[in-house]
Order: sequence, then structure tokens, then C-alpha cells
Amino acid sequence: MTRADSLLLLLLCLLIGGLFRAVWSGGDEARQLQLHAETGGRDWPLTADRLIEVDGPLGRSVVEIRDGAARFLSSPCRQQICVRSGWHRHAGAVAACVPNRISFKLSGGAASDYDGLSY
Amino acid sequence: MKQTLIALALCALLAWAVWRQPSVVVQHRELFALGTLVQVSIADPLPPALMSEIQAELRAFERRWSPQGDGELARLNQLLAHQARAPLPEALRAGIQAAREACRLSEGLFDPAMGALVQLWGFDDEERYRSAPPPPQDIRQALDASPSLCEAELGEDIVLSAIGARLDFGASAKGRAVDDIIELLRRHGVRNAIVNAGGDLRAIGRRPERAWRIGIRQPRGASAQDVLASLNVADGEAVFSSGDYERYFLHEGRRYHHIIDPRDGYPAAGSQSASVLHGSAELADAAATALFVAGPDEAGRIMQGMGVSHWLLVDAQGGIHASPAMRQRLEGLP
Repeated sequence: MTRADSLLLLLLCLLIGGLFRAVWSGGDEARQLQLHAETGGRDWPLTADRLIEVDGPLGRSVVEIRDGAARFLSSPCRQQICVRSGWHRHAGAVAACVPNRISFKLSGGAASDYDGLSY
Repeated sequence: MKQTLIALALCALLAWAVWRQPSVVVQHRELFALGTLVQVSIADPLPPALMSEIQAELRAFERRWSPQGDGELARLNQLLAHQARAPLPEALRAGIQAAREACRLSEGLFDPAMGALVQLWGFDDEERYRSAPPPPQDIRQALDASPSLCEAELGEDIVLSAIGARLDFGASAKGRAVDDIIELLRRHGVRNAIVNAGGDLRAIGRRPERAWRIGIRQPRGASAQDVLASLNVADGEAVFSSGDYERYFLHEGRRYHHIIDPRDGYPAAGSQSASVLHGSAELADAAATALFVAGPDEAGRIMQGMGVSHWLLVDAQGGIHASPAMRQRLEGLP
């Protein structure tokens, strides 16, 4: 094998590695929480635990990020549907406090096994 | 040279694999409508302005079907508060006819004329949400004053058996809206999508690599993400669920939820959740409510009467009941 063959082989190996990553790795999109409210939207990394306070027409909702999952910790709505929905972990998961017009969606990382949930 | 040829062959194989990969990813869009978060998932190129058109259609739908406000149903309710006969708005005709049919087929377990009871319990309004049940005499009064939609005459006018009905299509209108949005998607050339209105959904087509897969919520799970069982849905199928785990309050250790039994005016006591699979979202919506109210003893008969072959019920003790056809479709059912 000549030096040119070796160089070509090395380049092809790098190309194979890149293609493999692109096709089978599931992407390397950062894990994020996309928070939406009437006042605007903002992305938060899911890699750091934190409490996010966000104001809506009813008052202040609190979204908690912990161990890569997120939930509505509290919300001023009376029905508390958003709080009762608990923790959300998978990419594509959505949660909303409809009366307070606040929602979040998770992106990046492993997707859920399901394309939709019936509840 | 031999190694180079092998590497080239591997590269060609990978290039072929890349080429075979679906070029369209599933895109998700959300909007507030129908009193919930509506998610549209599309596995086709997203037509321009589609979401704004969906939003406009859902806003018009909400106004038309809201029992209060200034839309067609609200105005009809204002008339029915004082008279038993009122002109039937053309925009509501098909939906009310479908609801009357579902009312009859469910033997009255699904009855949209119980709006006065729903209003009394306060589950339809954030402002009037209760922390204790209404007085029994108020429930009795509202029950006695609510004529059934099953007995309504529908022609140029709607004729009910008594004055004072309040129509509330909260248990079927969401299904009708989902059907409408599916038709809108099809008109735009979308062939592969899910419309999910707060956990009630209908799918068309499939994902590029497999069928759409739907999880059904475990009613006593710690999170809405906890799944009892799952199924793959075929083109046009809807999965609708009714449960006691979202809209409820606890009073003196008892759970009072939003699915009212038209027979006694109290939250239906026999079920934790009910799910229906059907080709019509509108019927699936009404049937899920009827199934929940029916409970395990009457589930089979009521679903047969409504023409529903695929249903799943978790009873008040957590026992699982499913039609044979549904059992064949479900994966992971205990």
C-alpha cells in the first residue's frame, strides 16, 4: 500500500465515521426546554437544575428543571391540570397551563417511544 | 489497493443508506385552542401559512361552539333558556345532528343537553371552579330542568321537550374540530400527520419509517407520560380518552371529576379512564364519554350500540376491560 493509499483510506474512514454519526447517532441537538408565554419565548438548557418563574395573565407560574426533566411546579390556575401532568422527560413532550397561556416543549436527546399520548 | 476498494465499497454502502433515509423529519407545531394545547405533527413538507390557517379555523370553531359568548351556540342557548323551540343555526346543524345520534345510540349516557349541570359543577369555567360539590337540591333541580338532546326534534328549528336547556358540546366538539383540521390538512396536500388536541388525537398516513405509535395514559400514573398500553394507528384513525385525572377536585377524601352521569347529575363513579379507537374523531369523542359513564358493567352493550368495536376501560378499582378487537391492537396491556 502506497502512502497515497493510506491517506485515502484515512480520509474514507473519517468520512464513514461522519456519515455513521449523521445517520445513526440520533443527532446531537442540545437538550433544551422551549418556554413560551404571552410575553415571549426563551430556551433553557435541560442540563442545569433550576426554577424558572414566568408571568402570565393569571399570575406567576413556576417551571422546574431537574435531572434533565421538567414540570410545572406551581401555577395560579385553579384546575392545576399542568401541575398534575407531572414530569416530562422526552424530546417532543409538551405541557401547558392553558389559563395562564404558558407552555413548554422539550427538544433534543432521546425522543419518546410514542408520537402522541391519549389522555 | 485492495483495502482502498473495500473502503470505497463501504462508502458506497453508507451513501446508499443516507440516500435511503427519509428526507422529511416530523415537524411539531403547537397552538392554544379548544381550551387546551393543540399539537400538529407533520411528516410532510409544511405548507406555508398552514398553522395560521389552522389557528383561524379553530378560533372560528371555538366561537361557533362555545356555550357562552356571542357565537351561534351561545345565541341558541340564550333562546332555549326561555323557549323550547328555536331556529337551528345552519353552522351547527350537522354537529347537533351527529350529537343527537350519539345521544340516542349511547342510551343517553352522552347527552350535550346537560350543560346546566356542567355549569353548576363549574368544570367548564376557570373562574367558577369548585372545591366542594354543589348542594344536592341544586343538582336535582338542574337535572330535572335539563331536557335530553336524545328526544330533540331537528328540522328548521330545534325543539326540546322543555324550556331551560343549555347545550354544551364539550364532549364531542373537540372531536369535530379535530376532524375539520384533518380535512384542512388533506386539502393542503398533507398526507402524514397527527392532530392532537390535549390528548385527543387523530392520525393520517404514517411516519416515514413506521406507523404512528400512540400511548394511552395510565390513569393513576405519577406523570401524564406514564403509559398503560400503546397501539399503532392506521390512516384516519382517532384515539380519544376520557379520564378522572385532570379536571377534578378532592373534597372530604372523595374525588369529584368533570364527567357527569346524566342519570343522577353526579360525576360518574365506575371508571378511571375510557379510551376509544374509531375512524371518526367526533364519534370517538362522544363514545369515550359514554364509555366512561357506562362503566364496566354496561361498556360492551353501549359500545356495541354506538358502533364502536375498539375500546378500553379502566374501572374505578383499576381493573382493565377491553373489547377483543382492542386487545388485539394494544401492546403492553397488563
